[in-house]
Amino acid sequence: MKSLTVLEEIVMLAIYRLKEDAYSVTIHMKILEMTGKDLIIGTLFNVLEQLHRKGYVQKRKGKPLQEKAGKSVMFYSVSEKGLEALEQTRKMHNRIWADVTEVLHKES
Amino acid sequence: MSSKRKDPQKFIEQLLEFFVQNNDEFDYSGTLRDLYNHKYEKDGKLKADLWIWKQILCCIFKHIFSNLSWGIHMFKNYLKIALRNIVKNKSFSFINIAGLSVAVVCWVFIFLYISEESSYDNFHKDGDRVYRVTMEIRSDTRIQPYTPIAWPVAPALKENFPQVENAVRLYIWGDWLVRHEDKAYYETRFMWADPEVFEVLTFPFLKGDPRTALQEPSSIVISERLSRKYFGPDDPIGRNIQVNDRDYMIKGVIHNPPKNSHLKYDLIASLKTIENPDWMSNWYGTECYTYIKLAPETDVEAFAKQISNLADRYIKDYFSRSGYSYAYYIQPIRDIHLHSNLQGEIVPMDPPGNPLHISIFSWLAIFIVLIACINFVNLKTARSTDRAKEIGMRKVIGAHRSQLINQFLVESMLISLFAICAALLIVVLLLPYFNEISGKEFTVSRIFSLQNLAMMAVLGLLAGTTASSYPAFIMSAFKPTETIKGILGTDSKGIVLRRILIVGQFAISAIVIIGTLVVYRQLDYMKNRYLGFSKDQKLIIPIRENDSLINEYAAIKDEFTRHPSVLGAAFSSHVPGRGTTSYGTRIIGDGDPRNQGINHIYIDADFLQEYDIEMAAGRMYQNDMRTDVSTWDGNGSLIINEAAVRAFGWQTPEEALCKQISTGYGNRTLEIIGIARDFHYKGLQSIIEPLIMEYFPHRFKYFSLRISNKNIDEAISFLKEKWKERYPSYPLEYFFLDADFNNQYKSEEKTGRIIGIFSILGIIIASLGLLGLTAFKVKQRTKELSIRKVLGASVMNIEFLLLKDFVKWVAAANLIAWPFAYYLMNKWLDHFAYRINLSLMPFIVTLSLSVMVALATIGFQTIKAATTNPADSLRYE
Repeated sequence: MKSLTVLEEIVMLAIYRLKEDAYSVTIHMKILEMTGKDLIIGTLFNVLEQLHRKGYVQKRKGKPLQEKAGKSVMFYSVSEKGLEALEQTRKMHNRIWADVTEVLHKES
Repeated sequence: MSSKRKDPQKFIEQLLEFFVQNNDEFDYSGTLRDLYNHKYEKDGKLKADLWIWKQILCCIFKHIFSNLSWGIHMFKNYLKIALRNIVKNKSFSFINIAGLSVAVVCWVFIFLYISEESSYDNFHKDGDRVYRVTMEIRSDTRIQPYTPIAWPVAPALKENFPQVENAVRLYIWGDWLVRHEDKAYYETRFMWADPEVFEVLTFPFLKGDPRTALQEPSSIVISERLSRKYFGPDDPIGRNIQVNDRDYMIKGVIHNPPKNSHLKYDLIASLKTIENPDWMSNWYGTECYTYIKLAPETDVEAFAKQISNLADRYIKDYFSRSGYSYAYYIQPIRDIHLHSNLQGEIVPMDPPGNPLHISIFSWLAIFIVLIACINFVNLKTARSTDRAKEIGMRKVIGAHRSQLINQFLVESMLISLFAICAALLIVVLLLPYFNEISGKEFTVSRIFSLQNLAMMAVLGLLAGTTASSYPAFIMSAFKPTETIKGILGTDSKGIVLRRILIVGQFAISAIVIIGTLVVYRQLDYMKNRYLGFSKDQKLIIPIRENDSLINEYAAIKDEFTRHPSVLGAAFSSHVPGRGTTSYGTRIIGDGDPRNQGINHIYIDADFLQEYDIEMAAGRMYQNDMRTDVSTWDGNGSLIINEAAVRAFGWQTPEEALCKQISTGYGNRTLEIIGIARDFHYKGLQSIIEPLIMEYFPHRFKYFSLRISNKNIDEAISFLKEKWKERYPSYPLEYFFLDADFNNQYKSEEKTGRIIGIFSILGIIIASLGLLGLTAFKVKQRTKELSIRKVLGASVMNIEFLLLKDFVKWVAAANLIAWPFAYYLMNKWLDHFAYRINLSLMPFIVTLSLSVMVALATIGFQTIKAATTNPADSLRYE
């Protein structure tokens, strides 16, 4: 079973949700929106590269953008293998949380 | 996204530029800029700025931290491997560590010695402006430099030269009986000085005011240690002390003069006490030491030129009449210890330094460190094959070449570190012995001074790492495929290099050993050469109280020789090795009419006989001839030596007989009655100078007693008893002439001993390296040797095979060393007036010694290899 780290899980889910529009800026903002975490950009790039190496995300070069001074942006999407890993992770989460229904700690 | 771009501050852009490589995949700065814009629009500038700073700082910290942590991980691995290697190859590690630590020890000691020797008189304030004035008395035949000069020079300099800020005179003469209440000792470290002395020679004061301390006549400044000696814990200021029964008031206490000062005086009395205008206006004498302080930014060379002929202004007519001239020189005070060795040098309380010895020691230190480094390189390269597999594996796993180099460097640094610690320990343990040999007083705290520790660390690490950088470079270049397969050919380059290094090592050691042998032979020669007089079994008593002696010396002699163990006695003004006085001397009648300065000693009738000095012509003084004895009003007769005969231009000693010479105080004209054969009344460093001897009791200062060598103790106790009867209030001092005379060679002896020790250390380190190398080589060739044995080689054959190689190179090293050693030692010997000729002996001895040492070191290893059962070593194949 391939397990993902929490960070990998978050990044992949962000990419997944962004669908076609997943590149570094949007991913960062999505994560902020989802979790309130203000990731360090360097960390984000590291995780993306790691995921790519493991084959969980695919990279695709976008068209050169004018507002980026003619530079193209690298778009990410979750691969088949990545989806499988995500699914497994969700199942694991469900399993390990299955019998725990009560509130564990009241927020003060 | 808004069309109006808001860029983060320029600074951040630049920072990013520096840290991040942007490429198509990671558009770091682009992403950052976009997010910044977004933030700016949502939360305003301040928050956006804060955010971007947080981003960047965190990023940098993470970067650094991760690099560091990986660095530490790798370093830990290097350390572990290095430690394992050190432990695994105990003998090799030991050789490396021992060699390096001994080298560091040598270096530290030599460095301490040199730094002490060259730091003399550095403590004086404005010492770079303080000079000593010396002079040369020149005549046509001779140039005689003097350290002490005439009294009026200092005032004249102050008066005539605005560059001279201050000029002070020191008057140093003899030993003085110092009393306080019931304590009475002879003090040798006594001098008179001008009141302003402390402006120029800034000995630090403990109590009292340096400016006023010596203003009054009969005032005196003493050192801390003397204060303790005479006053114990009491405050000596304002109290009286008697010097030769005259009262002096103590006006100040100075710190004990530093070890590295050429002036180490415990009592400094005001010169005003003995001021005498008649005496002190005499331009002819060589009486006082003169120190001047020049104004800042003086053109020293121009000044030196100006003062050179200072005396011409005052006594020019004397110069033109006599054919003499005086030239004055200045020497920086800091150079005096090492570079000044003139006539009348301030009584050397420690032997004067010798720049030659300093350079010899520096070279020794460098050589020894070099030898140790060579060991390092040799053993490392030799053993590189052993580790080839490890290197191959590391490379296969993915090690960079730089990482491998790092690994080897860490390893050698570790070895260096061990060596440094060991060296520190050895230095501390050996310090007392070193102090004894070198005559210095280094303390343990000096060893642990920051400067010294830093030097040791830098030296050790530098030596270790530079020496290992070559093997690291070679080894890291191995090709993994070959090494793992085990195809590592014996690298021919490495072998040649190792041979060159071994030859270099042994050549260096050979030079040092030849040097040691030559130094010892020269010393031996100086000690044992027949000096023209006999210095054995002479007990010398210095006489301080001269007044009663003039009439009673004959009676005293009688009294003291009554014991059967006292064989003879003589009085004189000087004894060999204790200097002479000098007077202008001139022939009366035919011949050269000019004055020459000629050495003088005053003797009694028995002196020549007691000292076994032979006569070349004429007769000795006789006890019953009244006319032999000089008196104040012009009576008397002279005995001169052969050198003096030559100096006066006579062909044979006989020719000199009955000639008249004008000499001595008052220029009395005296007749020559005898010519003594030349004898070495000074050390063998200088040639025998002309000497005039005169029978003049008024100047007697030494009582020489010839003691039978059977009952020396008895004779001494007899003398003590007699002395007490005669001079109840004076303590008896005595010394043996042979020891005292040989004291002149102290500096040479010290050097010889130090060179000897270091040369032994050098050859030990070199042989350690050889040992390691043979051990390795034998191990490498085990199989070959076994096969040879199987095929019928005898133990002798194999032994010869192994020894031949090493011995050949050691012998070659010696031959290479010979010309260098010959040149260097010839240069050293040239410093002596009487020197040995370099014979072949030391060279041959060194050759056989180093071959023997080499044989002994490798012999054991090779015998082991030659006698092993071939079956044992071949079994594993």
